[in-house]
Amino acid sequence: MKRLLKKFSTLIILLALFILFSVASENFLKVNNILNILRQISVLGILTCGMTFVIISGGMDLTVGAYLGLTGVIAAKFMGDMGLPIIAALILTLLIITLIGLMTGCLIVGLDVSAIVVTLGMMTVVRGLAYIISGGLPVYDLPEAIVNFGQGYVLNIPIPVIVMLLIVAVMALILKYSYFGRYIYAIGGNVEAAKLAGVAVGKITASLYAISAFLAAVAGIVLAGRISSGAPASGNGTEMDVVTAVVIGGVSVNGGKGSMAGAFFGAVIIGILSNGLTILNVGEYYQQVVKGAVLIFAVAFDVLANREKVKRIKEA
Amino acid sequence: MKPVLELKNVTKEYPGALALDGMNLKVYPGEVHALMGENGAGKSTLIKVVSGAIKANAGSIVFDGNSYDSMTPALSKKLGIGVVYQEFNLVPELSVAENVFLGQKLTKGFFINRKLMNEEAKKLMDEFGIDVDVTEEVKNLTVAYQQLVEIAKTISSDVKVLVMDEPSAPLTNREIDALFGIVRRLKEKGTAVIYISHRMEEIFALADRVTVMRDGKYVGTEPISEITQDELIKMMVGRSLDEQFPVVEKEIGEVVLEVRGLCTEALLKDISFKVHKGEILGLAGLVGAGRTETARAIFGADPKSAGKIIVHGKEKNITCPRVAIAEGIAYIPEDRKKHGALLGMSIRENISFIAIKDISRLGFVSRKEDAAMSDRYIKDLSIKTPTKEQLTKNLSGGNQQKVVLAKSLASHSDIIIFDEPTRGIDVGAKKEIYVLMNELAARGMAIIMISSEMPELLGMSDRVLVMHEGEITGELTREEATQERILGLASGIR
Repeated sequence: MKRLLKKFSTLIILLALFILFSVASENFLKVNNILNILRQISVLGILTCGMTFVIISGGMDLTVGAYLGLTGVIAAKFMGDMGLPIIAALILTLLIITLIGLMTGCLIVGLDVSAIVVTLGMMTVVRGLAYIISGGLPVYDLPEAIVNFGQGYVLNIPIPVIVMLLIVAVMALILKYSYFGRYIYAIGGNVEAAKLAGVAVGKITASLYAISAFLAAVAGIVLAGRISSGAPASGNGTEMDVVTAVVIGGVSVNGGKGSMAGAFFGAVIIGILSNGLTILNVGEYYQQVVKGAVLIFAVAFDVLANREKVKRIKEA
Repeated sequence: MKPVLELKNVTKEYPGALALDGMNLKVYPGEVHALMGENGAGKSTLIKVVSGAIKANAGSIVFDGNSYDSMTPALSKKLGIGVVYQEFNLVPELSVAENVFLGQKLTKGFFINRKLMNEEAKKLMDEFGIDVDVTEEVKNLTVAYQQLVEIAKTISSDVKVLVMDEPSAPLTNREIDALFGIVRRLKEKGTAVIYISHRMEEIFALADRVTVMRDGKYVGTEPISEITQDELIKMMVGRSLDEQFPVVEKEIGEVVLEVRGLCTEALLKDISFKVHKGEILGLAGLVGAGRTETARAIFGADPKSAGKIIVHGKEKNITCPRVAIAEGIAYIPEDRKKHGALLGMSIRENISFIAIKDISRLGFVSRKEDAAMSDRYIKDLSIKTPTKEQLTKNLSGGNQQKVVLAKSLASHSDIIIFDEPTRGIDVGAKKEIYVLMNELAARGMAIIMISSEMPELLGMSDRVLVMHEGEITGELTREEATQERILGLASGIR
């Protein structure tokens, strides 16, 4: 029982919220609303994938929010001002952001500085670049195709949701069934043993930040499409939501533990909370308090389910 | 005399495993009571029950005539039960004195009286004959001295029962004398000492009585004067060990690995030697002589400043462990938990870890081959576990070592460097490891065995190289090798 509780704690919280909101509001459990929730978390869900890899390896990537801003800006610039073909502009954008991620990873590995510090610095640099390139203002006139990518539907399912689910599935498979995935767990669990087992720890670690950046760029394009512009300020603070989702999902910030499914459920929990609380007319400020409390609750739940109870002693 | 501590029928059950099964123990004031048993026999669980770190499912603990059905860490501390664990609980950045009195208040005021603290610490160290500067930061001490500080910390408060879990494991001979001095001093003061060790010589030199446990059960208690080493081993393993070091028929063939003029910035000077097919080459020396450094430099884990590594007659530029592994070299590190096993991962994930690319297609691991590989090695090396999905951290030391070995064997190594292969492993499992090493040698592998245990070096090695302060000071054949000659060379006396 205890083991089940521990293993599925994220899922239990998810179900509890689901039932709670279904009872509290009849609008919650409608197909449209569920799709709405998924669409709302699509950017978060995509970012969660990269972050999960990074955190399981014992790292941290605080730059992801800033990537969203820069991605939108440069993609819009390439397509609008420079008039590049959409495909070329997309490839170029993904390439640039991924290279910045790779550079971040190389800095972390090369300098042997904590990932939090390096990605914190990069976060500010990347955000600054987004403002410089855009002159501080959103870049409009995105091509129809990009807007459609962010707002359209296929078989009544929002395209961003399909993109997110595909990415989650692929990343989950890689994490669980590829040797790359096993290396990531080993690096987060015992980096010395991984090195002695011949794992190219440096290269793999650096690549994780490139993967995280690449996914952030994909999410950034989805986001730009959804808001029909490349806004330099978009994604401000998103990195914290992503970390929250991953941790609620049972991924240990110490590295070596966690799963893609768990982290995805973490993102869904955040989505359900926002949506459910909004339906119930709970204000944005109160929502923040609730989200923070759920994070702490989820972690506490995890810890308590894992702790042996100390029975009080009886003196004879 | 009444026992100060008595355990009655203590039982501790984990899901699927009975760690303690009606265990009994009586410890009297002023005695050194050795606790022996193979790894996995339940010694560590027993200590944790006594210290209150875990709670027993049944049975009672009687302390000074009062019966408790379980302990808590606070209660055991209050009663005067001190435990020296294998893992240190020291704060590296603090001084020796600060560590010793961590959590204790020497004065009433708000501020620390550093002078008083240092004086008290010095007094304590002098009393027990520990030669250490109490103002030194703990991180600057050798592991051996950290161990002594850990002990001093535990006995700085009044303990009536002191439990020591393999206190001598990180110590060299000189510090072991200091340790013995501490134990004997405590004994004079009337403290009961429960002493856990795998080293027979220590038990016979130090203990008054010995209690043996096996598979969580109480086997018996004997006065040390009335039992022989063989009888003790028999009690521990439940069978008689005919021969600790089995002899095998094998052929020593051509040179497989040659090291020429190996140097490192920090320590090693002009290390040269050869290892042959089917040979076990012992590498002896004191702690800090450079044996592990030699192994790590060969394996590419640490940089070399000069020297050549020649594998199967060809010079190889081994820049990192990956290259070494590709050349068929394996390194089984000394510190299993830190460097060897991936403790948070399952046995299966550990065993296939190094060879994982061989059983992957398009980057994805074949689940069938993954399972088959771990099944094969669990059977081959008789790793004791209910399932291959068991997390490695839940295994005993001996089984962890086998998992680490399996990891390297699965990657088709033919040159294996064992660094202290049986450290912290019980008698029964030791023999299994020896048999395995001999089998590997007989199959044509070349083995380098770093060891600090004299019987092991003498019993296993076809040749012994002795190191002293980064240099090789001598080479002895199996016939030439004696304890005296090895120790002489290891101390730098030629």
